Amino acid sequence: MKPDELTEERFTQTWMSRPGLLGWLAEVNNRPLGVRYMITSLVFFAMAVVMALVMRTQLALPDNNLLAPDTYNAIFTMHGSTMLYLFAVPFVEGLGLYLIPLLIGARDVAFPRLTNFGYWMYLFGGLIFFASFLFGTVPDAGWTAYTPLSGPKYSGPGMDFWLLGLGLLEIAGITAAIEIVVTILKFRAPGMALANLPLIAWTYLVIGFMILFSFPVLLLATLLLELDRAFGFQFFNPDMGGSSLLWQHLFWWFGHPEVYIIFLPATGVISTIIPVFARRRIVAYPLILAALLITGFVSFGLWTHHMFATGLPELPMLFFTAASFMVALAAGIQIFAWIATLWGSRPHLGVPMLYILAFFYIFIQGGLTGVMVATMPFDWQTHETTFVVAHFHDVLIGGAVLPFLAGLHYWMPKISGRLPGELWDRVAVGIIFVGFNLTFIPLYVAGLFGMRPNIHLSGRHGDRNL
Amino acid sequence: MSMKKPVKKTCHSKETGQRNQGLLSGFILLIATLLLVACSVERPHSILDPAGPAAGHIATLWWQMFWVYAVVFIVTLSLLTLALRSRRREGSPMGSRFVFAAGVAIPALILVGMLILTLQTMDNLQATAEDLNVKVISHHWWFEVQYPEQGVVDANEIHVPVGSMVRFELSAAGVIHSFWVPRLGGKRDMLPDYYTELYLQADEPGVYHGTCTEYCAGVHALMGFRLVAHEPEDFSRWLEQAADPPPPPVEPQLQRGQEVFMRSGCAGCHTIKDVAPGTLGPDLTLIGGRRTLGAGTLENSRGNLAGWIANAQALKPGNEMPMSYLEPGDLHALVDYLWSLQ
Repeated sequence: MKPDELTEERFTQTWMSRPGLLGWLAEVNNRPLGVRYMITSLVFFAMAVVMALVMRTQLALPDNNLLAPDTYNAIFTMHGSTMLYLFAVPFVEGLGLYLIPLLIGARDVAFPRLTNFGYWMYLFGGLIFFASFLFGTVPDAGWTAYTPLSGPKYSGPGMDFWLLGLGLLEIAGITAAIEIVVTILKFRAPGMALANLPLIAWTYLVIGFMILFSFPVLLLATLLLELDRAFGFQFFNPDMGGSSLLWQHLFWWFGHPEVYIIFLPATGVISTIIPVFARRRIVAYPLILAALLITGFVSFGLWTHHMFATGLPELPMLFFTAASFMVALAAGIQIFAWIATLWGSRPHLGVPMLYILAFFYIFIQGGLTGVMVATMPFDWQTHETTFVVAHFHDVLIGGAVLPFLAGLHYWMPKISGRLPGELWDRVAVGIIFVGFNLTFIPLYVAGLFGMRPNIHLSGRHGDRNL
Repeated sequence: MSMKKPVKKTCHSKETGQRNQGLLSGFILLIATLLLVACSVERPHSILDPAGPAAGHIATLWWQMFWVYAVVFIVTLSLLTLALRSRRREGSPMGSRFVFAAGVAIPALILVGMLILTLQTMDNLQATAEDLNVKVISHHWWFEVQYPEQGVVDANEIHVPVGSMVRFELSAAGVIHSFWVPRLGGKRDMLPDYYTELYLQADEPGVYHGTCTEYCAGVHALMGFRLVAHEPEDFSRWLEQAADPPPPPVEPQLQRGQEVFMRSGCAGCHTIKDVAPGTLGPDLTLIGGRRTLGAGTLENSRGNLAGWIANAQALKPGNEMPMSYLEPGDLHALVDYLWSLQ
């Protein structure tokens, strides 16, 4: 049955974006918006990288006075906040919004206007973050913004920029999650049962639910803190009977799942790319699926492993050590399923595959040190040292950014319609891999020697005598 | 560096395995070099150089974990290498059973073993009795130290006897800080709304470094303290001396110093036992005997003390101590007086 020309033209017109600036602002299609999400997040990523370079320059010489303490504190706060809230999560959402309808045979996501709304929420949230630079009051309470330090008594108006920006970002995250969940559950092509869903779509379904259960909690927490700051409420003010630890519980209830919200789609990318380059189907699909579901569920039972040093009762905290080990098992399933898929396949070592090999090395290293820092007594020594910094850069850069780079190289021809040059891409993989390890492996060692993160001095005062 | 190989050769898989092994040995070499360089310098914050039972148990746990997980790391990457080098076949020879065995069953056994080691460590860390109670209260970038039973107050320096289990009762005035003496044991947060406890013991006499390990903005980097472990008899002597108020100065220079202290506003913030009652800044009753100034910022010496009094803001920006505008003669007298408070 061939549609006649008239029908086809009406169809095209219905789905076309409106022309001009207004059309650009009101764009509702998932693909341009998905790309826009990704490009915006990469711009923020570049800014966060520049901030990291400034920090490393400050720390390169002992007792350096390039940055004043408060400037340094503001820069590392913005580096962390930008990387996690403005780069990682929005990039994941953008990739999902772009890919999911294509993967499941839908024309668009479930609520196209909501995609548009979410994108603008995201962009304005990010701009509010960075507007604090214009007013010279950059937030400096760390990306985790522990109370009471982030409360009205100890932090300036920079925290308000941070909280308002974060509020909008959370709304953007929730809209994207609703889109993803509803699209996958209701818009699959006829005959595509959940059991046949590509694994990357499964990862998105899982993180969609995770976002719906975790982001509203952070939204609530930011709301409560802003009420404290702007209207004299006392939720987090210990002087007036508020709790100093309440924020940490609420924050990490969001914060720990967030790490998996970033990581699981990256595993989805790997589960997509490896079978293609190995030219065969993925091994142990049901086990991988089980691993995804277990990770999604158990990630909500890990938050206290960020709080081992807070003096909470020890025996209950040990359960969080055990739960962390369980998540490690789920990660193990995926690693060995990929190894099994590659076994004897003599894969084509294109650029995406090289990124994935780099991922294996860095992620396994970060995963194992993760098991170490989840071991409570060891965490008492290494908590708030650069050992932990090295660990989470291993799992976030190695575990998520490298697979996303693989994905970008893999899908770029689809998005842009052009093939990238191979040679320089290969050089880039090498530089990233070697440079990353040279940057972060020494931090493990420095952490064992007791160097703290978040300090503006190295050398005599900064605990590091390397 | 070894990563440059695949740039030129479009990766026939024979190279892959060698490349992985090359990388592995490269990084082991790198870590080994770093460790070697590291061992030649004194490291007052190293958790690998324990000086008390708690830090010792945790250091042991670290080495156990290090070796077990190093083996896991190498085995996993070797399997990956093997997978890439293994001869080409139609389908994968490895099925769900391999994934379950390598990804779930064996790791579960290892992790249960590690959990048991963890529980044993926790059991070893249980302190049953305490010989001494010390209260530590953190302020904006310094630590107040109290011996409630002995009536001694000090700041940024904690004296303990070796071989005794000391119970630290930790709390904060203001934001959350954390208390850590890396060579003696794990850290514990200091909260503004309820106190936390930490048990530590030093085995050898010596001066141990401690730091604040919860980010507290500003000059968090310069918030530290010293823990001095004495032989028990030396400790009793110290405690006795510290409990007595300092004798009134007799030398005219010291009398002038005390007079400057009272007149120039120092007494508004600082306590000297039986002399001045200020509570905002650190207690100065024992300032002359302390090892550091400004909560670990500087070594304590007459010159540094004079510099600190003249312009503490230049040394530790943002702390609560204002600049002073003393005549040189007054400043010298003040330094002499404070130096006499041992």
